[in-house]
Amino acid sequence: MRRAGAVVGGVALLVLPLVLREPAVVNWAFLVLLSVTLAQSWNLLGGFGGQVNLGLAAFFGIGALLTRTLWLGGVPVGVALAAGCAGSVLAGFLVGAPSLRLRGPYFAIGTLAMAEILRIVVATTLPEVSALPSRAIATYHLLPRYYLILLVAAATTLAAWWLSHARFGLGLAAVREDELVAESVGVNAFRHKLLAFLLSAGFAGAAGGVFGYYHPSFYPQFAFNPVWTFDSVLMVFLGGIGTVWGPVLGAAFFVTVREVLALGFAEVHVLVFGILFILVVLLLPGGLVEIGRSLRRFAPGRTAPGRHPADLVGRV
Amino acid sequence: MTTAYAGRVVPLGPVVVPLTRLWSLGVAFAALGGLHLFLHRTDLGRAIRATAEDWEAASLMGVPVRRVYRTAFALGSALAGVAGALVTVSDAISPAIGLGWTLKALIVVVLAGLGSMFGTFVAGILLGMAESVAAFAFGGVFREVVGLVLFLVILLLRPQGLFGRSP
Repeated sequence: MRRAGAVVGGVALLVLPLVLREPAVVNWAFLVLLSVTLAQSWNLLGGFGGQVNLGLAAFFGIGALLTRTLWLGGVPVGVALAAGCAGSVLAGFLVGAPSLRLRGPYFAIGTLAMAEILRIVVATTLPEVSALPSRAIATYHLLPRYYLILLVAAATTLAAWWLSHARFGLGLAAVREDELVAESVGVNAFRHKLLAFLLSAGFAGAAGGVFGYYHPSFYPQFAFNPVWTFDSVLMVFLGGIGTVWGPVLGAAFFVTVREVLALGFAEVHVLVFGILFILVVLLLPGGLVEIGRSLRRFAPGRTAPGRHPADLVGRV
Repeated sequence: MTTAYAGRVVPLGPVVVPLTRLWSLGVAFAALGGLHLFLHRTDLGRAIRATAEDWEAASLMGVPVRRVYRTAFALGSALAGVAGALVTVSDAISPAIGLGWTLKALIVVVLAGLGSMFGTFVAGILLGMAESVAAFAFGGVFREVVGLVLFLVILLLRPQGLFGRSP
């Protein structure tokens, strides 16, 4: 049933910009898919691996900066995107190899510090706004951007699905639950964490790359803003950490509610949003996917799933 | 808005120090001293330290762990409030300055080693000096960067902090 839902959703997203030609709708769908990619990429390491990376914005920013620079320099956008992605993976290796030896809060704060260093350096060395030249504006179309982010979001979610099924994902889950026990049964904890980190960094870089291709003008430091990290973390917790569909639900909910509240409440929408977020976390510690799960619990002939996803949170 | 003492300075030998900064230092000393006495001389302080060391053992000894966590959190928030009040006296403030100061606090704690009061004090001064020297040598924008780099280096080379015991 879930597979059928995924197929229906995928087809709906494929035809959406062709049926609803309203640019506002397509832009909204683009933002949702961008958020899905970022949230899911955080979930790959944070949800499945239990490692709280607060430096996600750095990889998003590297992807955005590399892709945009190459693309505006005349490189085909596909190649530029691949290069941006590769740059993020490389940065992920340079950051992850030393920092993944740190445990718990030290890893979280270390990655946050790394991202802040990068943001300040970018803000200092590239203070000019990066705007598209007029020839690029003249040929700007929303559709290729939309389909590109759809592809990237689908690939990221596919990676999450793979993690929830494959042997590597099981090893990663073992590391998340107890590193010492995982090591004692022959799981190389460091290698599992590093690979998940590279996967996460690569997809965050891809999201950044599409953002760099999409946005007409932004300050380079904007792509390194910690907001990208914290919003993604919120989305993952809203939807359900460590699940395949949680980040997708969380991102759709987050972006939609944010836009609706911004329309209705203007300045105070952040306040309303914060309260809403606290309520969801208090009432639904397993995230929005918990709603579906509780509904199914009442259905005849079904047994409740054994493990509460919120149990993961305590390990962080 | 300017108060009567805002511009006043105190000469300390060859150095001239703004009165507000000197008072800030005094208040910081008093708060840290008070915290130290509280943690080491009162039952509640001892309970906090015991819980930090091993919450299961502490709860077996009759320490109300949840209440201790609540108290420690409240105490930490109160101290942050004191720091905030001191910041308003000599620095620019805006609703968005929180993350920068939070990072500074984390840097100091990691530099010192978790749970080391004396270390926190020394590390705080060390960070302030490093930032000032960096701002002087490389320009003001790199003030924050130096603190963060210092933090990462300590984290990687000496995760227990400069004054912490090895785990």
